[in-house]
Amino acid sequence: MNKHSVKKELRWLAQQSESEVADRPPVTASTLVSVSKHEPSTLLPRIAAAALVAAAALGIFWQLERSARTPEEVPTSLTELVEALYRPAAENAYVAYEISPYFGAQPSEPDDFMGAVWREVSGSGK
Amino acid sequence: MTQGARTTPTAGEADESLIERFVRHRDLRALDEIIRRYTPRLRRLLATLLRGTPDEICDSEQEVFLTLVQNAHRFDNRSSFSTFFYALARNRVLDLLRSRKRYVNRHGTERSFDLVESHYTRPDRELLDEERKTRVRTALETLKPADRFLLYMKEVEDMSVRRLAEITGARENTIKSRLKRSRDRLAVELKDIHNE
Repeated sequence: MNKHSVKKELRWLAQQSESEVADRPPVTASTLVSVSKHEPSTLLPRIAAAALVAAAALGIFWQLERSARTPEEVPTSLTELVEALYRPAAENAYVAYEISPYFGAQPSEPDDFMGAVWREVSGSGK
Repeated sequence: MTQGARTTPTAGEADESLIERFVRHRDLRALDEIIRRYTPRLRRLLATLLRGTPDEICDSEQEVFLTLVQNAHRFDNRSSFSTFFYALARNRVLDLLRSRKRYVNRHGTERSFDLVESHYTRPDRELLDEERKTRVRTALETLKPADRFLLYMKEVEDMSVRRLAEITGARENTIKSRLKRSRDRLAVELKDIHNE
């Protein structure tokens, strides 16, 4: 089928479809104006939806901001900073404790070893 | 350009003048004249693109004109009224096509029962026409709603690519390539329609 046949088929369909509704009278202006007066406004639902989206976005932003400012997450003092650094150091300390005998060190207990690391990191031992 | 608020619209009066009279003076006779002028083309468009009973087609027609009444104040003479009207109609038609697609997806193809039933009651010619209509409509429905509208306006209403670009806000080259793609698609879908 070529381009002209497509056009022909579409025109034929339009003609057939049109004939099915040809006898219907057109709507009148007075009916339309009367219906439009009773049609609920679409403005209020739109404003309400926009306000909800804005509130949700604000809530999420506030939550993110709040969690970002939690002392546990963002250090606000030197001590907190050291604590924050200590955690990964402590995890590494277990590994260090396990392998320390191979390097000649012989700490008595893991906790003691980690305590030594903590004192080293925080400077509290000095 | 502005004519008297309550003069009877004449056949030669421009659409732009009529809609201005309706917006400024709520002149219902001017709006009736607009409706009289645009109903045949709008009805043909809706009846061709939407599957539905005559009542449903007329309801959709009323919805489009209602959209015009609600948005008539936005017409600013920067384009012709016809372009303004078809841009509004297009948006409404695309909404209807999308909502009908959801309906058909949920409930299966409309009118399929009517077709089976009609085998026992209708003459052959009518049956063949009904089948051909279903084939062309089904082929048309393989296109996106926006492409269906473009192809219809170009092939049935002989609207120029330039006018279509104004109505849709797309570039002329984009319209041309979309039309070509749609025609090619339809040609494939309908390739054996005359061989059966």
